Parts: sequence; structure tokens; C-alpha cells
Amino acid sequence: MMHIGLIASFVCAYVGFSCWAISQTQHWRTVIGGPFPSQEMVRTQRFFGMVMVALSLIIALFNDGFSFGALVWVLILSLAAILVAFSLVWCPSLLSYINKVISYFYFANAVEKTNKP
Amino acid sequence: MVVKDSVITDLNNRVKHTMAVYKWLYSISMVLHSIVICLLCYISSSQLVNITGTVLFHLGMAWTDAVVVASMTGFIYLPVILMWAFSRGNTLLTWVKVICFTGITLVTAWLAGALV
Amino acid sequence: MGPVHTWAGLILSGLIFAIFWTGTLSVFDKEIDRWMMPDTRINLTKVTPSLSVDKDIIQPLSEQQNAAAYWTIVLPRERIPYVIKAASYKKPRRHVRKYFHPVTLASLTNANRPNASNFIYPFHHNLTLRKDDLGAWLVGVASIAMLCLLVSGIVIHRRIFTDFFSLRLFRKFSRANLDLHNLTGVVLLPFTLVITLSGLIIVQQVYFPQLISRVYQQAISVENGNKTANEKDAQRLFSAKVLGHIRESASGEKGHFSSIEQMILKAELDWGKGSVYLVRVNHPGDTNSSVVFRRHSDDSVTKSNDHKRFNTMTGEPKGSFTGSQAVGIWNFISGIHYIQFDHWPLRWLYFFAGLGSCLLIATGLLHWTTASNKNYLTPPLNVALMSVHNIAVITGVIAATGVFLLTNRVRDISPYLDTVMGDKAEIYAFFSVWLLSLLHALLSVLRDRSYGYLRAWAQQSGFIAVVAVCAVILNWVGTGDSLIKTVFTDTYWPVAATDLVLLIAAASAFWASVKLRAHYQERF
Repeated sequence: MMHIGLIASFVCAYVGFSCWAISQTQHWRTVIGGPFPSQEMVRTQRFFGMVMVALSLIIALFNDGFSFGALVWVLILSLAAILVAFSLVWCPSLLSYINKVISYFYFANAVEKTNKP
Repeated sequence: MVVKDSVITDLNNRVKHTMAVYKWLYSISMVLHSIVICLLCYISSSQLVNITGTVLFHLGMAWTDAVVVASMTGFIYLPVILMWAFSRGNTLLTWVKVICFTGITLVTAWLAGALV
Repeated sequence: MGPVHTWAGLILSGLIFAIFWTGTLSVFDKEIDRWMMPDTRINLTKVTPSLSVDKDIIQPLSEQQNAAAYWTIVLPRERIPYVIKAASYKKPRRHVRKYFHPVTLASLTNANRPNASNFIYPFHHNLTLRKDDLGAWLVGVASIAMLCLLVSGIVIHRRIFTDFFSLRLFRKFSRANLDLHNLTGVVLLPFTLVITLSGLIIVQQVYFPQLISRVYQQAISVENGNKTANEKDAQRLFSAKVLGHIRESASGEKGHFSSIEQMILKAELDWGKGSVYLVRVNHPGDTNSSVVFRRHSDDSVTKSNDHKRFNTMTGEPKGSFTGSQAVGIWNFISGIHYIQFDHWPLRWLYFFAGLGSCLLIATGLLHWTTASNKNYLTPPLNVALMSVHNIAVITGVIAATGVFLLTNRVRDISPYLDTVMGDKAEIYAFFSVWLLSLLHALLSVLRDRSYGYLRAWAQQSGFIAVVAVCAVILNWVGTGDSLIKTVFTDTYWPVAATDLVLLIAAASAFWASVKLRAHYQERF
């Protein structure tokens, strides 16, 4: 596939921004519902979001070199952020699915805590 | 400084009161005020470009490079000066600020040019 | 003070919208050109030109344009798939430009119509007002205003991350509008900041000429023994230093041509195969003639001004030019704006970012109008005229662009129509429809000051949808290139993508029209 590097970079940016969005109170309510997360969980989620965005930059730089890569990354970030905002309005279930996948690997304990009755 | 400010503020308030009476005159004068302040800001940014170019030349850059770099910095100077000029609502203080700044840049550019 | 302030913002933002809209279209100006000039729909992946520069280009030019001051030859490439042969004369000053098929060498007679490259792109950077750079100055004022707006927008929207992803589209219109404005503003901030700044930097010679004039007037007068030099000469000397232009005079004696192809091969040893795209022959047929090659910038962001000179008679290299580091930075920043590199996903990203910026400006216009005026049941004339301005600026320019494209497609219905329409029908149609849009909005609003603006928005959106669909249909009828052909059977993406974008635009405009009409009818 021709542009797999760019697609990978975009997916990382999208996942990163969705983590960041979900960590915010009003969007947590929309996507996940249920009890609000602890401060520690919010910090970890935002850290993970930043890591994914940084990974998106690294992939873009590897794919296209420094000048093209940086230019592409900035625009991919813009596109990913807008799509996350639109997803929050029209398909929050996609973001909740992404969160479930990440939570399975990363926040196993934290998920248990928030799902407590 | 406090005394100077309040004198200017008082003067500005009196001008504002007169202008409020003649609404159209006020609108036209505001438009002219904005245009002239923008022109003065442009002149001062242009002089800052001249100063930057001359300084860069003296720091060892060739004239062509100095001119190219200085012209690029001009587009940073101009919005900053414009926002600084229009940052307070006090019209008279704006005029004082901008005229002083334009004068300073003109003199400095002349000095920098004369020293080349 | 209030209305004056509001109107100043609206007029400047209106100009900014027109600049960003035409700029967004200019991202794909060469692809739109293919759509507008069917003769040039040449797919270089399917036909391989076996062009001989000496036999097929230089020889015919020597026979037909041998008295020219210089020739400019553009070799075919992916985005410009034809040969351009141009001859420029000094006294009287005139230019002759002809286009040729890269394989058959047939003349492409309809390749110089008004199109994206010679109307939409110039409109973007100088509003087609070229006298004394008036248009460039207006664009400059609008761009500086845009920079100030961006910075003040950051200051206003200090709580950037708290509301970063908020998009409350199903609340009141003013809330949805402001959220969309904030979202596009924050998310596209790096893009809009860099694109505005880089656009200004490209034309810095026009906006900050004083330092150039002072330095180079002094240089010229020192060289000429203290004779006063004029500003134009100073500007020319600066361009020569920055671009490496060398002015050589003709000797007046007849010379001959050595093989240009061999010179191209020599140049490409250094630059890489296929890198020469432009050949300029100064004083063709003279003993003092020189050939200058320019290289393309497909593989770098920097828009290269590098060139190599050769002696036309002997074929010996005379020198090469590469800009200095500072000029390289200038070219890099210019390259970020020009987007002449070969990276299709990046080009599409620029296009979407441009559309997002247009959305930012449009939502800003709407917010600025309503924020300064409380909700009136029957707004005063001043506020009603603000709505007229917004409609003329937003749907007006979009409708004008649609009609520009549609008018072009009418030409290919029959040759008679093409002759009757003359050279500039598309341009007249563009400005006429823009003016008509203003008049239509004015009439709607004067008829019904309370909700007439909604009706005008709905009707103009509907008009855009109809025009876009008609343009696609006429393209099919006039040229035989239907969407099915250009996507599936005889794939040609420039035309297919233009048709698809027109259809998507039509669908969006139709949806907007239906929603607005429902909104308008709700009021009654």
C-alpha cells in the first residue's frame, strides 16, 4: 500500500487526540458515561495521548524525511483533531471502542476501578 | 507617569464627549484615525526593517542576505506594532505612543544608515 | 464607533475569504486547468513523449521566431502535460505563446483560455488589479489583518485545551457557529499562521521596498560614478542578485545552435535525470546567445531558483547559480506556500486545510455580525446590510466560481459557441454573477428585513448546487469524459477529481439549501 506510513501516522494522531478528548470531563460523559475517572487516570490518559501524537510525528518523519514529514504531520494533526471533534458529535461509540482497546492494554486496573458499582 | 496619564485621559474624555454629540463626525474621524495610525505603524515597521538590515550587514552578512532576512522580519514587526498601537482604547495616548515610536525608528534608521 | 468597527472587520474579512477561497482552489490549479482545457487532458503515464528538443522545438522556433529577444520553452511534466513554446520581443514589447501536444506535436489551440492558472491564481495574489501593484497591496493589508486576527484570537481563546474538542452543533446556531469557529481556528492555527506569513514573505519586495531601494541605489550610483539611480533599477539589481539573473547584450552577429539536448544531459549529470523543466534561450541565433536551464522542485519543499547557463554556439557551460543560505530560507518559506512539490497526500491536506480556513473565516464573519448586534426582530438597515455583505462574500464568490467553470464547459458544446463567447467570457461571468449575488441578497433582505437573509442563503446555496451539477453534466456532454470514464475505463484523475469535488460541493450546497429553507419556513 502506497501511503501506509501516512495512514499509520494519521491513526496514531487520531487515537492520541481521542485519548486526550476522552480525558476531559464533558467528553468522558458523552463517550463512556459512568463514574468520572480519577486524576491519576486522567493524567495517564493524557500522557498516552501525547505519546501517540509523538509516535505519529516519528512515523511521518521516517516516511517522508524531515521537511515533508514535519509539514505532513502538522496537517495530519489538524485533520485528526477535527475528525475527533466530529466523532464526538456523530459517532462517540467509535471513540468508546478505541478507549476500550487502549484500556485493555494500559489501564487494566483503572478500568476495573471505574466499573465498580 | 500617573499625572501624565490622567491629564491625557481627561483630555481624551473631553474629546470623546464632543465627538459623541456629532456622531457622523466621530465615525469619520475614527476611520481616518485608524488609517493614519496604520500608516504610521507601517512606516515604523519599514524603518525597523532598515535598521535590522543595516545591523545584520554590520554583523557580517552580505547585503543581499541582510536585505532578504530583514524584509522577512518586517512581517513580524508590523502585526506586533499594530496590536501594540491599538491595544488601549485611549485615542490620544495611541497617537502619542505611535508618533513617538515612529520618530524614534526614523531617527535610529537615519543614524544606522549614516554610520554605514 | 460600533457599526464602523463592525463594518471594517466585515469588509476586511470578506477580502480575506475571497483570498483564501481562490488560494484553496489554486492548490489544484493545474488540475482544474486540465478540466477547463480539454485539449490538454493528456495522461503522461499512458503516452510517453519521445521529444527531441533540437528537432521538434528549437528548429521550428528558429524558423518562426528567430527575431525574438528570448525564447522560453517548458518541457512536459505530470501536471503540465504539454510543450509550451514562448517567444518574447522587446521593441515593441510582446509575447507569443503556443502550446503543443508532447507526442504528436499538434498545436493545442484552446490551451490559453481563462482558467485556474491565469485567473483564479492571479486573483488570489493580486485580485487581478495589476496597475501599480494595487491588488497586491490590498491583499497585503488583508493578510496583515489576518495575522492580527489570529494572534488576538489566541489571546481571546486562552482556554485552548479546555474547549479544544467542543462542538455543540445541536444547540442554538450562534453557539454552534462559534464552536466551529473556535475549533477550526485552534486546530488550523499552525496552517493559517504559516500560510499567511509565507504568502506575505513571497512578495516582500513589494511590501518593504525601501531597504532594497536604498541599498541598491547606493550600489548602482557607486558603480556608475555617483550618478543617481532610480528605484526600478535598484529593484532589478536586487532580483538579479537573489535570482542570479545576468543581463547579456546581443553582439548583432549571426550565430548557430549547438545541441541543446547535449547541454540538458550535461546539466542533468549534476541535477539528476529529468530535472530540467524550463529552457530559456537568450538572443537566439546571435553569437552571444546563452541557454539557461531551470530545474523542477518536485522532490523538495524549497522552490528552487537554481539555474545553469550554457553557451548556445559551443555548448560549453558558462556557470551555474544556487542562491545563498538566506535566499534558500526565503525559497523554503515560499515553497511552503507555492506547493509545487510532488506529494499528492500533502497537496490534498493543504486543500482540506484551505477549506477549513474558509470555514473559519465564514463562521467568523457570521459571529462578528451577530455578536455586535443584539437579536432584533426587525433589524435596522445597517445590520440587515451586514447580512447582505456576508451572503455576497460567501455564497457569492462560490457561486461565481461555479459559473466560471460552467461557462467554460459551454464552449465545448459547439465550436460556434466557442467563437461567439470570445476570449474572456468566463471572467465576465465570474464578476457578473458575484455582483448579481449581491443584488439578489440585497433584494431579499429589503423585501423581508427579519428573515430575508435566510431565504437568500437558501436560494444561493441551491443555485450553487444546480450550477455544480450542470458543470459536471456539460463536461460529459461537451467532451465525452463522463465520471465513469475518467474513474474506471480511461482513468484520468485530474478531471475525475474535479468532477467528484463538484458533485460533493453540489450535495453539500443542496443539503444546506434544504436546511435553510426549512429554517426559513419554520418562521412562518
